[in-house]
Amino acid sequence: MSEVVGSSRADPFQAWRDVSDHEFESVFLAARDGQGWALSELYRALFPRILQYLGAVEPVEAEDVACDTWLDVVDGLERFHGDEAGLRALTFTIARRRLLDLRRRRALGRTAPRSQERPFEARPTIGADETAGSPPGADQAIGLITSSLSPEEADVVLLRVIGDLDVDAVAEIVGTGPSNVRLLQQRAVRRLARVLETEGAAR
Amino acid sequence: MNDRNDLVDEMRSGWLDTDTLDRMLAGGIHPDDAAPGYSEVAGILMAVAEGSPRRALADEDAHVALAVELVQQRSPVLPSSDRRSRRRSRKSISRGSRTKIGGLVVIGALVGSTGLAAAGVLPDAAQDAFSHVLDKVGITVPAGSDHPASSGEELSGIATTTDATGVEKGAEISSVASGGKSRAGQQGSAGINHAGLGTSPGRPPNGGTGDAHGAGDRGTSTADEASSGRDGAGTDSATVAPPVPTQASNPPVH
Repeated sequence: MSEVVGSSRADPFQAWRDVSDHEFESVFLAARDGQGWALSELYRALFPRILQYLGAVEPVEAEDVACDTWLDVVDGLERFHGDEAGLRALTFTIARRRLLDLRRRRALGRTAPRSQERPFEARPTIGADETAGSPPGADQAIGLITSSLSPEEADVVLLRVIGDLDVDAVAEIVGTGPSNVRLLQQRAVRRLARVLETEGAAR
Repeated sequence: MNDRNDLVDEMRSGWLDTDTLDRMLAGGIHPDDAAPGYSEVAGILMAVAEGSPRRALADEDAHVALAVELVQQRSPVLPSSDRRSRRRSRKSISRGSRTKIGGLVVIGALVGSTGLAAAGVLPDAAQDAFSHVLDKVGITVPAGSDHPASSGEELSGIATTTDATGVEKGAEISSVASGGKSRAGQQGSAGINHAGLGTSPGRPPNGGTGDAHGAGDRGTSTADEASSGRDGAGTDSATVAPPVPTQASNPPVH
C-alpha cells in the first residue's frame, strides 16, 4: 500500500465507472455463473478500491481483509439484486464489517488495555520538501486525510471518494443518517482546507 | 491581495453547496476549477480518487481462481424460469406426499390398534373401548376385564395364597394367567377324583381328601372375601372333592 499508481483513467480502478448498466448486467450474470472472465472484470473493478480503503484504515491487515471481502462478495452474488452502485455499496459494507470484526477480535485478544488507539495509522503528510504545486500522490493524500480529520470524518470522506458512494449509501454503511454524513463531509473538507493552508504557509 | 483573502475567508465561512461538494468528493473537480480556498483540497481528493495501489492486482489470478472455485462449489445456477418450475414441482410433490403419508399413518394406526385389541394386549380402558366398537361391527375381541393376569406379582400372589396343591394349583394359576384359555389341569381332575382313592401321587392316601376339602373351603372363602362373594373360585374343587367330614385335627396344608 506504499506505492501507488498515478492518476490515469485507463487504470483498472476506473473500469467500473465506465461500465454501463447493460454491460454490468451481462458481466454480473456471467460472474454469478462462475465464468472466469466476468469474475476477473468484477475483481478489477472492486478489489483495488477495497484494498485502497482498507489500506487507509488498517494498513497491516489490509490485504487479508480485502481477500476475505472479495470472497464474501463472490459468495453473495447469487443473492444480490441491484446495479453496479449497489454492488459497490455491498462490497464496502462487507469490507467495513470485516474490519470491525478484526478490531473486535484484536481487542478481545489484548491483555493490557491501551489508553487510546488511533483508528487510522499515522501516515506521512505532504512534506516541506515536496515541490510546491506538484500534485500529491494518492498515498500522501490519504495520509493527510487520516492524520488531519477525526475518524468519523475520515471514514466518510474515504468511503465517498474511494468507494464512489453517495451520501445515502455511506450513511447506511456507517450506521448514521444522511444529514449527519453531509455534516461530517462539510466539516472534513473545511478542516482539510485549513490544514493545507497552514502547511502551505509553513512551506 | 487583501481583497482576495477577504473573499476566500468569506467563502470558506460559508459551506460548499451540495453539488460542488459531491463533485469534489468524487474527484471530479480539478484544482484549477475549485472554489477559492479549496483548490488544494480538490487536488487531494482527486489524487485519492484516481490512484490505486500498484500491487492491487498482483494476486488477481489466484483470487479469481478462488472465486471461480467458490462459485462452482455451489449448486449450478439455473435460468430463473427453470428454477421457478423446479421449485413449483417440488412444492406440488411435497403437498401430495404429505397427504399420502398422513393417510397411511391413519390407516396404519387403525390396523395396528385393531390387531393389538384382537390380541387383547391394550390397556384396560382402550381394550374396553375397542371391544365395544368392534363388537358393533361383528368383530369379537376380549374386553379389558377379560385380561389374563399379566404381571408376575399377580400370579405369585395367587400361587402363595391358594390352598390348592399339585395339579389343581397349577391349573388355577394357568387358568388365571391365560385368561381361562388354558386347558391345563384337566388331566389333573382325574387325579383329584383319584385322590379319594389314595392313588393320586404326592398325596397322602388318607389325609388327602381332607386336605382337598379343606383346600376347597379355604380357597372359596379366600376368594369370596377378596371378591365380596362374586368369585366362584374353589367351588369346583369343593364339589369335586369327596364329601369327607372336616377333621379339625388336620390343619390345611399350605
